[in-house]
Amino acid sequence: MLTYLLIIGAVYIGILMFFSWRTKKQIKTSSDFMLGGTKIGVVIGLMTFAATLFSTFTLLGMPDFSRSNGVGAWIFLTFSDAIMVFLILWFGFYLRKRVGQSTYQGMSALLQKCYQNKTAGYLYFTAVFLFLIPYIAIQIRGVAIFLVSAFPDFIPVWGWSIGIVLIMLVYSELGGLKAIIYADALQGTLLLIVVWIVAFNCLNQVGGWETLFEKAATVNRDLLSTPGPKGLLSPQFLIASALAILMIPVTQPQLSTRLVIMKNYNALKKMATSVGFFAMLVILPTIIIGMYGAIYYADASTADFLGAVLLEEQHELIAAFIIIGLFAAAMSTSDSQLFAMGNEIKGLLGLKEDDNLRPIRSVILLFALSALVFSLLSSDELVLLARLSFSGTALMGPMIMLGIFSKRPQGVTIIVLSALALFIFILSNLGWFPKQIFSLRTDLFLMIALGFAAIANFFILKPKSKG
Amino acid sequence: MNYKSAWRAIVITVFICSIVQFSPWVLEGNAPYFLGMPFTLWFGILISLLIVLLTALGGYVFSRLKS
Repeated sequence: MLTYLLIIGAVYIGILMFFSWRTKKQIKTSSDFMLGGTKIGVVIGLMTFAATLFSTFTLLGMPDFSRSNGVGAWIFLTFSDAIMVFLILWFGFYLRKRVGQSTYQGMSALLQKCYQNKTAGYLYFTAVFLFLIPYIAIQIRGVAIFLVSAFPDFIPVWGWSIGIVLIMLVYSELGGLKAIIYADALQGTLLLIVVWIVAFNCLNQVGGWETLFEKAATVNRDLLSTPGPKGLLSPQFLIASALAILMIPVTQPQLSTRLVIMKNYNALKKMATSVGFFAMLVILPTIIIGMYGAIYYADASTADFLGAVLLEEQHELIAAFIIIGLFAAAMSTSDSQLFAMGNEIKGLLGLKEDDNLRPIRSVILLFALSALVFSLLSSDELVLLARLSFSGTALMGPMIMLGIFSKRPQGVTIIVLSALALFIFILSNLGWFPKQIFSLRTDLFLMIALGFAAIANFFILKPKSKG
Repeated sequence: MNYKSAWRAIVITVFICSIVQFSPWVLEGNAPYFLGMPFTLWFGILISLLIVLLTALGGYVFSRLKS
């Protein structure tokens, strides 16, 4: 398999470098580098949004998550994604209206403009930095651990991690966001093909679609409904997860950037609908793989289950494609996140169009190194760590939406409350604050409280109509 | 056509879908299997599909509303 992997890997990296070389020639200003220079259409928009949204946690995390928690994993992710794409219709319109004809300098700078207050931008960037770096790290770690179990005694975890970060940095630092967007189109396609090949193989092994659920029911009937065998998927957990996922395009800069650089609103609304269908197509096979795992690998460790179902049971050529697909999934999300954080810094520093790119490139390199270090230290709970990242950044959602929907500055109340909520959320995750407030999960309570505070703030400061 | 009312109706429908999906009665599953799937999964797929289709319709209505 190593021979197949080296050949396919070399071709794949060659294509990435070709994209970088092609787009490098078109980079004239820092905006060309950070925002791709041109507006993007529906198909490329769909692929870059989907590839950025669906990361390693989809291909590695979701099969394992549904193996442990049953079919409720569909509600946890796909239903939440469906309401997320609906929100894009509304939020995308107002975000693009707010940005207007000026160059998008990132959400931090936009918030500073909306609130006429520097702290709003710094608070947003703090939340993004605190929760995106671990998210990038777990993707790198997820793939690295998987590769070590696939090729024991070949390269250690840190070696694979450095390799992933290095490839990612080379093509994104050379070709800018446009190279990333082209690479995303390739990576999104690869992810979809790979996950369905594995799912079809599982269905073939188990004896078909209906047999899959019949056998799963004999193993553990709780797999077929919520809260699942572990009792994790309670209504509160699912509602808090849905709110966190709903806020992803609002609060995660790699996705809000993509809403801004769409060609026009018509392309944006078509892209949103397409992402909804794409989500269903990508997540359904992960449920199939998870159910298959619940039947045949109920007691296996995560690494053993994934190693068996993704590699050992596949033809060597397919297994090599799966490994490249995993690389692609990790890189397509991580590079966009690193780049988006670079753009946030560019906005906060107030760098202009024709300014030198060196400080931004240095910042991206610094973030990549931070993620690399964190990846060597973090735990292996891919899905739950990803959810933690979504929840942490989601706390900034009410502040962002209030700023964008309001026609005039909204004062400091919501900024102070958001900072307080972020602080409580961090303490709660460190075990230094109760996990529940008034019988609600702390993350759910904070999201609801901030939501109501933002609505109250909006109506209190709304100009009274005359007459 | 009154696009404002249509947009409001779509938003309310999505909101109702969310309440139904997250109600413990639906979440925890006596409906029969459908296409070989347990209730929690087929209902989840159906309601997700409905919301994505409402997104397509909502996109059309909202762009007319804000034309």
